[in-house]
Amino acid sequence: MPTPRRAPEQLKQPSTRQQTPQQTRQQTQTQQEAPTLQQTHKIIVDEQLITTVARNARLALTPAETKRFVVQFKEILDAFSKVSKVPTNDVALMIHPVPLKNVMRQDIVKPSFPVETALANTQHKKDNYFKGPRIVS
Amino acid sequence: MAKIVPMAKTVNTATEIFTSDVVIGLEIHVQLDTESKLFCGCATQPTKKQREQGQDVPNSRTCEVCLGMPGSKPVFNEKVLQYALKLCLALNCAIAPELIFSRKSYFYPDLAKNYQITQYEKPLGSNGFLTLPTGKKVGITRVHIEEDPASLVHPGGNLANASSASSVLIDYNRSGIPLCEIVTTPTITNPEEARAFMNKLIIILHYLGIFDEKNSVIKADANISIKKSGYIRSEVKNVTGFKEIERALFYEVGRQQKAVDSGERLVLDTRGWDPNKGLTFRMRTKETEADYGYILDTDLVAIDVTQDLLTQIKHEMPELADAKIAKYTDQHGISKLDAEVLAQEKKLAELFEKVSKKVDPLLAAKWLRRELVRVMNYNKQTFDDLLIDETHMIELLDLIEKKVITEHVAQRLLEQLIVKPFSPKAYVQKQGLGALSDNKQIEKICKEVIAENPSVVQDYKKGNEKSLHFLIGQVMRKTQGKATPKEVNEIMKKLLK
Amino acid sequence: MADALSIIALKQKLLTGELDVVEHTEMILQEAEKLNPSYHYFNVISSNLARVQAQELRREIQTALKLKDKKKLQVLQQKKLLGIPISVKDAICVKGVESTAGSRILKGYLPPFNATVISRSVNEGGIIIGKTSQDEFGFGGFNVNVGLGYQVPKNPFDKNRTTGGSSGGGSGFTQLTKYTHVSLTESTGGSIVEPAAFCGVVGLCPTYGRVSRYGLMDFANSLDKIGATGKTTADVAVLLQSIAGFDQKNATTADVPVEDYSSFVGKPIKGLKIGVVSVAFGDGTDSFVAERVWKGIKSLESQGASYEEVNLDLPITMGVPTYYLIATSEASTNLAKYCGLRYGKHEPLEGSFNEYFTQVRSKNLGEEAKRRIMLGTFARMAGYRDACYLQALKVRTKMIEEYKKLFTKYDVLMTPTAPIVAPKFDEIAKLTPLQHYMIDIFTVGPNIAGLPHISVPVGKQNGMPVGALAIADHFKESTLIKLGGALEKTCGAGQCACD
Repeated sequence: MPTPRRAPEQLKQPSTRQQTPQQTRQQTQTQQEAPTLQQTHKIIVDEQLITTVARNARLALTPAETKRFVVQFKEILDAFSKVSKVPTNDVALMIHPVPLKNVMRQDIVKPSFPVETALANTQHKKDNYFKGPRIVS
Repeated sequence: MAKIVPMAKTVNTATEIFTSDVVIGLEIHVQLDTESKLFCGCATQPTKKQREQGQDVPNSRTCEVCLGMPGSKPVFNEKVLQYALKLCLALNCAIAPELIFSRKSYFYPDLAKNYQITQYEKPLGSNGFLTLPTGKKVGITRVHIEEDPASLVHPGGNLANASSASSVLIDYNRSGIPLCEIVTTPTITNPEEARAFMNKLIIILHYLGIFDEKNSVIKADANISIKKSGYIRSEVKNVTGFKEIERALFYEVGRQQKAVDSGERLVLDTRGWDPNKGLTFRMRTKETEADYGYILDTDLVAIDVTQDLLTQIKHEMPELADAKIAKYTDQHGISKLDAEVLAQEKKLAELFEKVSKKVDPLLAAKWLRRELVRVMNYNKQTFDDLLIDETHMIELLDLIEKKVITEHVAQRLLEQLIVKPFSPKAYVQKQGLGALSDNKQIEKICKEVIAENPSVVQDYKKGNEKSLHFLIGQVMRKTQGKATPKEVNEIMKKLLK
Repeated sequence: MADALSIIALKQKLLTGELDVVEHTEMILQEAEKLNPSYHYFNVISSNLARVQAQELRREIQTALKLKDKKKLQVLQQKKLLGIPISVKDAICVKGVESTAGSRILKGYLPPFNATVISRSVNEGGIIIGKTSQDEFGFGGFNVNVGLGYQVPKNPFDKNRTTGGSSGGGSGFTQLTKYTHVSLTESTGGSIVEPAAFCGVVGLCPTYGRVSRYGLMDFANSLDKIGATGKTTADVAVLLQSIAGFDQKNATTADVPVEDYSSFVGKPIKGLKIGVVSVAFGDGTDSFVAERVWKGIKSLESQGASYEEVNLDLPITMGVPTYYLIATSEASTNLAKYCGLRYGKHEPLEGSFNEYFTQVRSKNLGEEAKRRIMLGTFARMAGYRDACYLQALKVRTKMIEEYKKLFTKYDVLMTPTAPIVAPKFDEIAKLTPLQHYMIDIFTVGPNIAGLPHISVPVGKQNGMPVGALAIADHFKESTLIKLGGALEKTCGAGQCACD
């Protein structure tokens, strides 16, 4: 059993097994310098990136939120960039963690919702149609 | 283990080298005629009764899956794989060993989940081709399976007016219907060729029995560019039906040419088609800025496309139109045009094949392709409604072949047969419709007609050919068509000399 | 906790007529109502539904007893969850009961269908008492990321501390209730076992594909699992057995036979080989947590198990980023459907569709939800997709291979469930999002690999419970049940939390 260490009362960063990117970089300096996600893919985490991503996701951020996200994304992506260091050249990716294949259904009609049920959860409806926001042509 | 090795991305047309005046590529979406939808058990079509009563209520064929309600999950319809494989084989594609699905993410009111389940990494079919009647092969880049979005009803009628409307109406009956997407290489060089391609494709779909011509829809996007502009591409999106696709292509080629001629510099753009006004218009579409952010759809599992399945499908494949046309022209000496008409409709081709086993193929070809089709059209019958079969046709044609009846009589028999089937042979015997082969009898009647129509005879002798036809007509009437017009003609001319 | 009858015990009393199912149900409903203003365990207490279910059940039991209908009584006896109150994580759809996955964007949504686990539970006689509090869509490890307008649930032992998340409400209530009860909980990265550990109850997350996800509002489709939380391993085993098995409606369920999990409680663990992940007991794990878990391992040894220290590399070093890259990629597509059409929160239909969607989403999704949607959208954008999303999927393969190698030698792997006991809210408030993600350090591994895992209470420190985590190979839930029962022998079933 490992020697119990005295732990501080307050919450600390749960695991120091996760070294900071700085520590990792220092460690590997003597070996080869492994590039980060930012370096290999020229990812610049700035307001423009945050705004682009938010737009793709149909989210409108306030200026304060945008600034906050820039900082947080930088920290998160830095920490995540070590994933790209794991050698995976001849590794196949898995759709699911357990082997699952060949589940299909037969071409048989099953009962549908009554129209009222389909429309029950919305106020935006008209004459059995759902009503949506206008299309821009 | 369900492992996947992602394949290289498929063809990007920007790297092709073009030389023709016009370059067209097509992306065609075909609704597959299954009973239930791609990922749920909702019906793809209203019932016959509902259709007759005009009762396809919007959103009446929906469930939590095709409405994209949270918690619902898709399950794949096995029939779709069978149909799609048939199409891939008919288009000479290489078949993927596994069927896997991806999510194509974008936001639009017709998309129940704001992503479409489609195939991205590995389409079911790839690197195929379709041969045009001219012999030219149009390449098929890919054939894949995906789900149809919902249908949008724009107040004001169509997309061109949509921006002025304040809202849109959405019907999810269509959401989740299985589609096959067929993407051609950009090797079609004019709208006529595109038409030929589409005609060929529709015959293939018809033969495979995977597309409901009456009730289902084909939509296409087309990429069009012209040499004059340096091949700057326009994409015309979401055109419904082959007729409209052809119209749109003709229009767009003309528009681009006019634009360049008037000094305009073309840009890469996306356009819609207005069928009422007959023109394309620029759109700001859902896709112009989208990054689809493809991921695998992990609610679905990979399906093995096994050798056993492929063998079974190949076994079920019908002989396709091209093979039939070759067979008819080579083996039976039928003209290419007649062979094409016969092969265009599967039931007609099958009828021909059965009949031509017992009766002269050329006779059979003429009668089926012209006479039968004529009376069917007159009676507004389709091949699905046809009451007679090869036994009736064989009997009828046999009577002609043996000269028991004239072609004229045969035509009248066919007109009756189509409405209510009967045995031609028995009927002829009963009604005494046998051809008049006794020339003496014909001569006697000709003399009667000459005697009854002296002024007409005078007209003929003055040089009026039409009078001869009148006299022959009278003979035909008197013989109730049992005389052969050719023989009457000869005898009459002889008598009038 | 010592007052509550086990599922089996309650069932017996109901069938003899000693206890009345309607009364029992009424009492737990009232208790839930009473606790909620201060503990916030429930988003909805489904009293109407529960009462109707209880009335119907009482009618059946009383009729069978009156008529001495042996056949009918046998049928009732077979129902595994007869009369048992069940709380349900809000993301699991219950027909006709407001289900929101803890998010304001689904406020008012009444599902027109039941999740498969609900129909199966109800078929077994279960009574649905309410929808429990969670982080919005499962996005969190402390249940503080509740949706806009929702309240954060409090730890049953200390109201200044977290229940853990994201199945916080279910775990908290399971601890506090005086009545027989089990909870349907859900895990994507550790959300069954971690709150179980923080609340001193048993939580079992089954193999991916063991239990149907049909009707579970998706967080990440290749990572989500529905599981069971209860006061004891025995109760958890009954619930698991009731819900497990292939489901036609969910293609990712495995066609593997369901074992009689209940029969494994109390089975001897002689010869059980335990791999103790030594790195989980060192730097970064609080010493008393490590100590408690070691005590648990030693108690298993005294019952005939053996252990060795093992090395676990990728799941520990790469677990968190790999998990978040996959999970947020999938989540960002799953949450795209929430846009104010067809269900959920509406806004007036103004503007173009992009403007409308953006408005509904921006106004009604919480900050963590937005952050994860954006992370996921980024990770699968063209240009980044290969290095982020696809790479993470490949690293997943390597992690599974690493686990599989270990399972050729060991029956279970053990670590603490979390490196700390339930932290205080004011400590949590100081954490960055990345530090929030790190709480999952021990649980992301089995979750990415789809391995079944269980957290069992192994004592308390200063009144706060500590949980031990055991991970087994795919579809070996029975081994975990055996181990859970064995741990409880030394701690006393359900007693540890009352130390």
